[in-house]
Amino acid sequence: MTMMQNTAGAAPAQGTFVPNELFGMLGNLSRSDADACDFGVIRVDDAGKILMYNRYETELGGVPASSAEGKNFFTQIAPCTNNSLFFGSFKKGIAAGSLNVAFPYTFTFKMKPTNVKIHLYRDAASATNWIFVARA
Amino acid sequence: MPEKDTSRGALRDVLHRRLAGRSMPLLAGARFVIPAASIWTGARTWVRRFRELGLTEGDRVVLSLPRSPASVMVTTAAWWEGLTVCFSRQGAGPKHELLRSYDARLMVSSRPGGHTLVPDHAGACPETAVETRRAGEPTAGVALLLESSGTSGSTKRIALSYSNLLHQVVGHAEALGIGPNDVVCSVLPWDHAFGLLVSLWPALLSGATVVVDPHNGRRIEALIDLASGSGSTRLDLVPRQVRELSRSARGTHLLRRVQGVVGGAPVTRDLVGVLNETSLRVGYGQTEASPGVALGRPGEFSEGWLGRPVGCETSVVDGTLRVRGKNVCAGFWDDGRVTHHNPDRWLDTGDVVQVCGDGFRFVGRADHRFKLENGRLVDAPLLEVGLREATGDDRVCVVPGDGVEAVVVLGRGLPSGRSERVGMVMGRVPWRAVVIDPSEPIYSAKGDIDRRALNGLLLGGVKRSLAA
Repeated sequence: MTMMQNTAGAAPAQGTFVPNELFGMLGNLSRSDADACDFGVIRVDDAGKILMYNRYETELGGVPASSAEGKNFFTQIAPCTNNSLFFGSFKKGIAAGSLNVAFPYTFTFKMKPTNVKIHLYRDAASATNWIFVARA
Repeated sequence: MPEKDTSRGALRDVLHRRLAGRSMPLLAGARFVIPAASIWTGARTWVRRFRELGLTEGDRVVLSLPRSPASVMVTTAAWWEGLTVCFSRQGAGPKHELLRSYDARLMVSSRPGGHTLVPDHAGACPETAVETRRAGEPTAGVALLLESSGTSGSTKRIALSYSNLLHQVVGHAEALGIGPNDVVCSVLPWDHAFGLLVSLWPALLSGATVVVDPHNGRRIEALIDLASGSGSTRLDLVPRQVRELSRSARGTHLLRRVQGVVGGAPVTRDLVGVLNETSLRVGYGQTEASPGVALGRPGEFSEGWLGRPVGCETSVVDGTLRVRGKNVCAGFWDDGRVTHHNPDRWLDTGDVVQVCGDGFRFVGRADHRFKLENGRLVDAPLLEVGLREATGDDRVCVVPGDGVEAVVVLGRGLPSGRSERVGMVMGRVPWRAVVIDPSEPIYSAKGDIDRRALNGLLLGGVKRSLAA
């Protein structure tokens, strides 16, 4: 499996689908900024509770932001991510204070498996955690 | 008549319980990571399509895919529907020939063709139109047809029932103690019984993570990197791969770190020391036995050691091991149909064994015994045990010579004084010795001597001959 490893300092990872300029905005990313992205942008707290769920993700997953926000991403919204690789990498990164991991994944959307690219990222400057999701 | 196989319902329960909506097991490869929940929804797309196409219980589907999520999805769907999956090595032959030889209604392959569906990039069933083939008698109750080259070298297609399948994968998952915290590095091919039914499916049904080695264990350094990088806890291997891993410090370290089964061919003397320092265990069986017959304990290895029976009865008749139980195959695919055999029969493994406590030691193949022209029986497997001891040569074997003598084939010359010891082992059997250069192509893919190739070489004239 291809995985970008956690890197100290969490510089924008090479080969990610997330534009470089977004990494500099994460501390102040507004809902409208997130909604303007053509990939999924999910902000979660250190336990995985969803704080922001953008429009793209709502359309991809069929879950309105109002329903998703406040719930735990890994156990309530996308329970198929509650495994050693996905949630495990997140927890490991949070514990280490550095999270910058990307890997392919297959979600189920509308009862059909769909390949996506995942990037888990912790912005050290703003101490915010992000899950980025793009169709592969 | 096919046995009334209630195991299909039980298998359905297990598949649903282990896959539907679950985050584990996880299947990971170079370009994919897929949790059970998505394997399940992918399988549902195949189930829907099979139904639309009118496929019913016992219809045969040829599966010719790389080790991928699609392969697991199609297999899950086919077993859910009671179909018979014909596992075929990729590139095993022209598609139309495979379809015809299995008299199958459909093929699922990564390359398009007649009567063929190509999975989409996530492994799900595509929307493309396909026409199914007309086929003969369905093979109801048969979960899979697997090819086995057999120890004798002649290819057979073996029919395993749903009962065989359930007994094997559930029984071995328990016996091996695989759990959700395990990371299984999948090295062996999925179109062979060992890779499919000892390694892959017990791991999936235990909720483990399965990491697929894209090189099938052929690139040892890459395998070490993958197993180390993924934190693999289990690695199932054939002895040849153990030997290659043991040649480097990193490989040896890996062997000592993981659990898993070493099977597919007897463990030879040179590997015993290596394996005794690991937590790996010997596994013995054959495709006709689904394939699990016996397992050793972790780190318990000696030359030819096969382990103790697992979930089956065993008996030894005329030195040959026989097996009875739910692992004994339902029958064989031959001439366009499955010939069903009595499920309660004793299966003759054709393996000559010695009983050692509550387990067995492999001696050789019964079909390696032969008669000289004067009618004298030469028990080659038994003689070879003594000859290995007498000569210190692991490659030694005994084959028919011209007329009334046997040929003792050696991998290297006999040191002085050893000839007498060979004579003592051979007893009253007339013999001559020949040395065959180890570089000659007489070794099978499994690493043992291919006696047909050897006979060809002997008929063609050997390089050097020693007077007996």
